[in-house]
Amino acid sequence: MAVRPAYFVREAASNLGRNFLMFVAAAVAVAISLSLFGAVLLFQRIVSNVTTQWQNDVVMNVFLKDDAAANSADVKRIGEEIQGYKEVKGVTYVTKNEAYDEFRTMFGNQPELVESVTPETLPASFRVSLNDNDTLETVQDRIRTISGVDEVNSAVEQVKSIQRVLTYLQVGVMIAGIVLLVSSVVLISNTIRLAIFARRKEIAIMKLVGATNWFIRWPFLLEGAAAGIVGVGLAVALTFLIRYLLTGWESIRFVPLNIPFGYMLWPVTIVLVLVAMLISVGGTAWALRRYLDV
Amino acid sequence: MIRLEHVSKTYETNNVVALNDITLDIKKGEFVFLVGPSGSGKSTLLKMLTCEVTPDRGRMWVAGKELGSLSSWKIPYLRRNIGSIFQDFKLLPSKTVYENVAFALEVIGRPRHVIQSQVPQILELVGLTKKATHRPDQLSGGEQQRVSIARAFVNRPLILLADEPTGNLDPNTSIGIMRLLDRINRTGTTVVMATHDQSIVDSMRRRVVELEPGGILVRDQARGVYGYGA
Repeated sequence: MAVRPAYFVREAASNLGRNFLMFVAAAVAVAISLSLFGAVLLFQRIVSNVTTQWQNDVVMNVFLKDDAAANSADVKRIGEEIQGYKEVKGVTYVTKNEAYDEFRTMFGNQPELVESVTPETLPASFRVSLNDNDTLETVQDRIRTISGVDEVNSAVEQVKSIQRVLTYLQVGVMIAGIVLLVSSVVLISNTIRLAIFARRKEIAIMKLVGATNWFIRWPFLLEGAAAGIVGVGLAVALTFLIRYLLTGWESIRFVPLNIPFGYMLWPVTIVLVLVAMLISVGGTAWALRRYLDV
Repeated sequence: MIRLEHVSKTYETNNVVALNDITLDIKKGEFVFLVGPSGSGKSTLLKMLTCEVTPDRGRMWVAGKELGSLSSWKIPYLRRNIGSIFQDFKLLPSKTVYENVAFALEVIGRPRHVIQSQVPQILELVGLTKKATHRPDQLSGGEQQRVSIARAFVNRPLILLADEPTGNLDPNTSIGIMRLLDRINRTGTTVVMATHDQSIVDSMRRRVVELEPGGILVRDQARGVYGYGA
């Protein structure tokens, strides 16, 4: 049988014209669900940036009891013990005076706070950085048992809670994306169903005179694909608009976005195109199976 | 050309027996009237020949193919050998006469030059050359049936199936349609026509196959008439 691409395209276009609003609705649904999808992909990158950045900065503060800090042998012993752990990357000693200097710099705009402390009131400490931040808690527990150590703290809890919030946010956006994904499958399938309904007489005659099943299906498949293509085009634009807005957003400045413009343009686009193909082919195939009895 | 062996069909939805153990042989070039009251299975029999309905039991051959062993993707190719016309014409209202006929060739992938030469030919055969650009609603019932015959025959099928083609037409118009079908039959096309039209059957004196309710074949008569004893 002669292949008639021009014929199929013409028929698909006329289907599309007949139910234009329905087609637009389907394409927009595809666009929105895919944008959320794309946003999640970009979001993941932000989360991993945040995590690495903050984890690199995680430093344990090991505060010493005043009597230990006063004894240089104790200071040496504690420092060497911590340095001896294989998880530990580096140790720096911060004397009471150095701590006071830092304090003064940090709170220089609050003189009355600086007034209220003297070098003596601040504890001496070791700043400990680790090779692998996952070992932070075990190392922290071990250091606590060393005599002369008063208190150990780190920003690990804060980092963890921020990570948790970001993860919930991601899951939420993902779920919304999936719900919309399903609804766009339904919308595409409904668009095709209407197109089939509008053409039921022609389809009956096509079957009667011996048109092949694929000949009958092609225009509908093309219409479904068109909804997917328009949708994915909008989605890629929207995703990168979201990304652009995110970098310009004041309150997120503190978050190290580190996404150069155009970053993941192709990976994101390819993923979105694949998902769009899945949606449109799935929705169309569903409608054809249910309503096109060929 | 058409052969049925012990073919039976019961519709599951309402448990109605449409055809009961029908055996029938129709040779190439025959003209057969299928008569019987409503519900005697005439339409079911015609639909079986185009694979729209499959029998529960029995074997069927159409145009040299055994339908039971025909894979579903081959059904369209079988249908290209069979033209069908109906009481309600089944024309596309938005297309002109020419387009309605051309549509049948387009959708089976015939090249444009074939369409451009065959459609005018067939329109001349059915006498509608002057109305080629009219739409169905601008035509009389008889003219519409001629368009549908043109569409059914434009691909020169081996078999023409007609399901009450004169059911919506007045007697004079019906005669014209029957002349046309007779002419098509004389080209060697096998014609099977289900009808309630006694005067047509009685005047043409062709083979008559009679079914009665419950899908039982009660009469198969060469040069027959519509009813017994007529």
